[in-house]
Amino acid sequence: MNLPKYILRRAAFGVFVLLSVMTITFILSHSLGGDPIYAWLGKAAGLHPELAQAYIQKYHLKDPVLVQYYYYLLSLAQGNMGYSPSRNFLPVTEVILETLPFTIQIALFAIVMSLVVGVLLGVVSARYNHTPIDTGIRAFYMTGYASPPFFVALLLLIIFTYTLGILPSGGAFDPTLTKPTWITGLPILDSLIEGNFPYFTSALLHVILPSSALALVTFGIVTRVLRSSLLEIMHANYIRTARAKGLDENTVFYKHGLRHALIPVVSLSSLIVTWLITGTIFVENVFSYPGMGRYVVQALNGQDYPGILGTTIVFALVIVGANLVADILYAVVDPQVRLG
Amino acid sequence: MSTASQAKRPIMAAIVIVIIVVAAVAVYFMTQQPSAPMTSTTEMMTSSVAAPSTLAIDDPFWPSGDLNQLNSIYAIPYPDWLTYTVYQSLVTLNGTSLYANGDVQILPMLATDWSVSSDGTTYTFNLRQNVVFSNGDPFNAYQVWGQMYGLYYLANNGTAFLNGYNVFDMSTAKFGPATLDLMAKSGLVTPSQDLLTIMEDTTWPIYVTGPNQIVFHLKAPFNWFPHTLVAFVGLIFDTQYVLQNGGFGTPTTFNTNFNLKPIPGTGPYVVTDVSQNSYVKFAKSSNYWGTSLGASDIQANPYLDPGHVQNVIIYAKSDDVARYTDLSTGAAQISGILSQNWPLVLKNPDKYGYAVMPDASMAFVGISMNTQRYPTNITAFRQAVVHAVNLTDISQRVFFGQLAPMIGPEYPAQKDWYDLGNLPQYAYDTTLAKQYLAQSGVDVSTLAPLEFRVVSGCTYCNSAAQIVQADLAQIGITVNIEVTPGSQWGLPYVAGAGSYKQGLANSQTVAQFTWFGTGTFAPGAPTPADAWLLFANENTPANDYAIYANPVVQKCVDAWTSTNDQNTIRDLCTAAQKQMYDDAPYIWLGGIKLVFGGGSVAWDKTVVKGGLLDPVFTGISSTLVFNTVTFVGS
Repeated sequence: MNLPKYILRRAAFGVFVLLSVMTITFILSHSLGGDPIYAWLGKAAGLHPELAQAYIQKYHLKDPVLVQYYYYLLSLAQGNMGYSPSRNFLPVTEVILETLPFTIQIALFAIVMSLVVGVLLGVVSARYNHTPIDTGIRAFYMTGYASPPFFVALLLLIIFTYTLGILPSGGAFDPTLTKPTWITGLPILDSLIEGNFPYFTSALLHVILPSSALALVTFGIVTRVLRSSLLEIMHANYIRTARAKGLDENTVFYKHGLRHALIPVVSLSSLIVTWLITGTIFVENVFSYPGMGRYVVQALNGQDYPGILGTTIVFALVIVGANLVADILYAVVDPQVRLG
Repeated sequence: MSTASQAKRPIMAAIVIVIIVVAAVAVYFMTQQPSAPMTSTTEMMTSSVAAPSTLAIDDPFWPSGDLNQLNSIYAIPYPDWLTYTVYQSLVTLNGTSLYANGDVQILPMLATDWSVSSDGTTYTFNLRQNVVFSNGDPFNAYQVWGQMYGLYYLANNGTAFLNGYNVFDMSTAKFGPATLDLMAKSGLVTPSQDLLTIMEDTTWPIYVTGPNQIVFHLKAPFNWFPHTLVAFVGLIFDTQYVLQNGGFGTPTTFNTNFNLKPIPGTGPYVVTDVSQNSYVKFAKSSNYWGTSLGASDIQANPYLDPGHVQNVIIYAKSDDVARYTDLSTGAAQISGILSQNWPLVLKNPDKYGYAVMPDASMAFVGISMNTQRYPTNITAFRQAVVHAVNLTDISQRVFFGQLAPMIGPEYPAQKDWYDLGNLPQYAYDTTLAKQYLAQSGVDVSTLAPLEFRVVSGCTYCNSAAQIVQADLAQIGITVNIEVTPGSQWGLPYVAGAGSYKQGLANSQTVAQFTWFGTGTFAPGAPTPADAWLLFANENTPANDYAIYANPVVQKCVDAWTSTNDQNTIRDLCTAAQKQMYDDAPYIWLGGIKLVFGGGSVAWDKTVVKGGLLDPVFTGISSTLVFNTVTFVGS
């Protein structure tokens, strides 16, 4: 199959996945039990029954789930994700637009850290395989891999903030500084572009711990896969040929072996994005980072259906998108994939 | 796979486990050490740090409802950091005597004085003159009128819009979108004649007699009406500003413009910057009318204090370790610390001060028993329960010994009305408990486990519930604790979120035991009627967690808002309290002395001298009212 056709097919599958996720989330969130009007209005639901009735009618809270889903799809088709009760009935799109950039910041830094650290340690581990260095690296990444992100986050908080006092405990930036003007929507990048270096430095310091907490959990996957891939490739025939030709071991390893061993890491990147995105939910709450992860927890605690659905859609979009990009990259790199 | 590789796997697994265990132990010991002081111990003991130019406060919660004061009919925002810092009320309480002794003393704030008609139904407030909001808009009676009716409209014309108190006959008030339009066109600074005609209409329950006088006419006498104006709906905002910036909205779509750009108030501070779910910045208001108040004025009425620091930042940080870290490193001078890290505060008395409520307060913790569902619908069974629960044990093990005795339902701070029958706390006596159990006729050997609901996320609720579970097991009663998500903390599982009548309709799904509220309970208005109207009233819109009502008790409940004869109220409520004591629908665990039950608001003693909590015993805010915060050396 040619590449455009392959891409279209994968994209269509992605849309199907998105719709399924949305439907399942809608049904599950409405099966939580309890009466959402008490979650939305608190005691005001009892204090002001007329008000509660007005909300019930407006949001069809007493209608069957499928009817509610129909109204939701209708409003979604008009670009309206609804109003978020846990955020004082602000439009969900507005809340997401405010919080998503912060989550993207953490995620981007975490991805870079995961890949850089993961590749570096994977290479070293494979190069010095079956030595104490290899054992040490494997123990390190397995420790990170086995630790839940919130545990790692708390550990980093205690070490770098409480004990060493060199990094801030939470938030996204020092509020005494002037915020950058909106250019790309990512405050760290915007501050760099406009030369607002005090804000840039502050935002960078605030992003280190949350993104490190995520990266320390996910880099291990990269290390492990790269190590295995490298070790396998180093036994391949063409590597034997390269050695036979008289090339030195470093050239064989880095120029011939590593290049091909990185291919599985590409397909792994979509998995890493998934792990990182879901990990932000824990990490943002530990560091009070004002991203979408914090909003998700608020929405869940408040039985905020529009908020739950809106954030699920955005997360699903990111994950589906990341998978699609990974599939395309893999197809570009390895044409055999397309023929399947 | 080679034998060598296979042999290495268990070794690596062991290394991983050892690393994790070592890390966890290291974390434990690191957090048990007193924090490293920023200066030497000697220096800290003998000198103080200069007052900061910016006061940093860490709070565990971001305000639900953001900063939008239109939400006051929902009893949010909570926490409302703008209480008395940005917004003021017509009247307030003496914060010093409130927190020193639990004395509820009403004082003027935006009203200079008020009078009551002889039949107790008409309250006339004279307003302070030459007061402006922070943006320069004048404060006057028209603004107050507009706010009251605007909030009434947002409550979908619900008559209990004033903090749940149904004291007005709103049938004569034809307020709706047309009146709002008229208000918007006319303005509230110098209203048009058409609007004035409506505002001065004495058939309406709330009306004005001029720019500096507003009248509230109640449908029945209520001696404590001014107390209902102290917080929430009583906090006055610039209604003119609301009208000029999109209006109030509708009952189901409030104007959300004010979520992060709060409406101006008359208080000593203004909000200068907001990052949602992260922080709020404040600076002193150059228009604050109280800037010229003398020291004696402020001492007499501390909530009027213009403040002692130019800038304040309040951070919302949900992680307790992060908040404690900030406090210990000086990143925050005041921080809310919950029970997880509270022992660290207690271990450093030289470094940390903290807020402690008086024995006589209005915040408490308790457990309700469903009086409509078997077996807690049997009085003798409930009596068995209250005598089987060891309150001292709960206080010591869960609340650091900081629970004050309470004989409900009246709040201890309402000293003239508290424990009218001079009844003792239920004695912890398992022998007596077993006698009551036998009397109840309940065969515990065949009794299915009873349900006890506590809200998820409340550590001390769960801990206390476990002690109660163990106590009841001693007399043969098995209890299952059901930790319930906050989103489901309402009907049909929890009675207190709905009216008594709704509770009755759902009584068989409500648990036999329910934690009272979602943590600690504090009033919406500091009146002695509050507890009666909420906890034991067949007409209550909320908070009757036990689904309890009784004709003798109802006479007392009804008397609060039907007569101004205090002797009659006293007699009826003495009998009502005895009735409730015998019926035992609630286990009054005690008055909390720490703000968060198992933790409190702590501060760096080398910088902060102290400050006051809100006038409803943390019912509206979870940190100090920062204009009252004073600093060491100043």
